[in-house]
Amino acid sequence: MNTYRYNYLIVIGFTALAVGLAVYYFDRSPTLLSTTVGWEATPPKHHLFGMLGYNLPTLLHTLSFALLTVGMGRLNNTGAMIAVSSWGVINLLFEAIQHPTLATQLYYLFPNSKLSHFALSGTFDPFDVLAITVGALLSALILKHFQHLSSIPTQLEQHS
Amino acid sequence: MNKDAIFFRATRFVALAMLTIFGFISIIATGGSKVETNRIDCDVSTVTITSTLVGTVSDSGDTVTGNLTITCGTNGIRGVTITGSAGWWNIVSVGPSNASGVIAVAKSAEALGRSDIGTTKTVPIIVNGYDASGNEASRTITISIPIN
Repeated sequence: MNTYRYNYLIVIGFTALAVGLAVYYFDRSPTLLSTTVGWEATPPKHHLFGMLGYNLPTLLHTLSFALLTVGMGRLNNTGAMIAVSSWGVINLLFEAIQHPTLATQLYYLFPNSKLSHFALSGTFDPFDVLAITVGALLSALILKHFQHLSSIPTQLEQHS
Repeated sequence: MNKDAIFFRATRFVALAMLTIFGFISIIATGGSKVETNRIDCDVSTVTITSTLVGTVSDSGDTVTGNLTITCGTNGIRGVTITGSAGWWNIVSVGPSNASGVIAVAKSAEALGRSDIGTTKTVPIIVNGYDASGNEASRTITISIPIN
């Protein structure tokens, strides 16, 4: 059974998550976060990430949660691929329901629900779909890399 | 299975469950942040919207034109004129940038076709404002758009 250097994956996952949060803090209006996590609502002061800030969080969400799931769950090869695919599909579904057609249908099905409000107030962006795909592929590549590394004994293991 | 193995599995299960919940919450919490919205400086429960929007289907392109008049309590607020392609038009960020900072936030969804002529489409509009306690609040108001 293939295993990974799980702690590395957790570190990379949390780092990606931190970068994603930085985009929201510096580039996006924190008003939304203020209503959900209690951050102070102030207009964004910087545009640190420029154009990247539009789609980077979507990529990083898929990437970080896939790696964190594999790392924290100590998943094997099959589990890891299921985790990557699942987070990719989940992100794609949430992006898809922001499409105006689906968002309105969702509103008619579940009026005044948090989900339909999310869908209506969101913006469907084809580049987010691309970002999710890239995020999933990138996490698969990182997993592949660490799977390869795990077959190489560390110095500590060689000395013991 | 010994105690250590059970503890390991239980810890792993809890960690994955928390991670999954956090993952979903973060998607919901950050969704919509691309929309440039202004918050109406009034109690959303007092907001009313009247619409004269009319959809037109034609070979040269579907359009929705007309006027949205937003009222906050007893205060009349300048109307919002909408013109655009029916398939993708939305009312997000289109609105008066007047001193009172009022804006309608909405999204339409109907791609029109010949079969839609004579029907009426309903479009939910989200109004961002405050509740009676002064906390940020949103309300969805549905308007009807006849299609000619």
